[in-house]
Amino acid sequence: MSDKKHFILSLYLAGNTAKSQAMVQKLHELLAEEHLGTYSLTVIDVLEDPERAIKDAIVATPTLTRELPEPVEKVITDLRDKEGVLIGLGLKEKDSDG
Amino acid sequence: MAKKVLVIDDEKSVRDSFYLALKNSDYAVDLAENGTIGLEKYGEKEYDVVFLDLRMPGMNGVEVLKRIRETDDNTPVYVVTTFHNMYFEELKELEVKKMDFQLINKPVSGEQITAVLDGVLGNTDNNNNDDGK
Repeated sequence: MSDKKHFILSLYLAGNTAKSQAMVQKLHELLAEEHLGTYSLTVIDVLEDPERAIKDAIVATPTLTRELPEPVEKVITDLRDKEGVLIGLGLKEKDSDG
Repeated sequence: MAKKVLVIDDEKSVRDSFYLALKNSDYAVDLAENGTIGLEKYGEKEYDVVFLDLRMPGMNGVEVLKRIRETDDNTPVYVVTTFHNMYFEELKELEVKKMDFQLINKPVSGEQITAVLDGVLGNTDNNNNDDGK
């Protein structure tokens, strides 16, 4: 598949800690290395904006969501299972050759 | 070997929810009805994840988390609380002190418990959680 898409992603975290910052960095690296398309990433600190988490039906942190293209997909993850995250969000197909 | 989960919550219904959600799973769950007992159990085993109620009589969740983080920066600790500013003020103190924790919204269902555990313990295949949407 050669046509690259644009993805709108949100990452819901608990606090702006060193581990949160490391996770954002890790996510950018993962998306860059996979060359899946372009993306925009919004980081939401649930401690600062719990209403947003409720509105978006977030159950727990850390959660990564793909808002566009629809349908919305959500994965609770600390990114240790990179392949599972990409597949769970529909950013990559199962058993694809990458 | 089964991953070990510790649940510290003074509400029996919450402890029961975790027990029922995990009793036939690959996770081994221990339950504690207050912070003191929770810390005792925590000292006896190496847990993979801790779920911790925020508001408990006696030693509350913030105090328990501080004690855990005195010796352990790595074990994921989930604070079980309603997502609301009213409950988050005391947690922001922990953030300022660079203490790491995660949040899970109360009330929590069995499916959500499993989704969180699969997500943080690496079984993402089961974790396409559509609760809520």
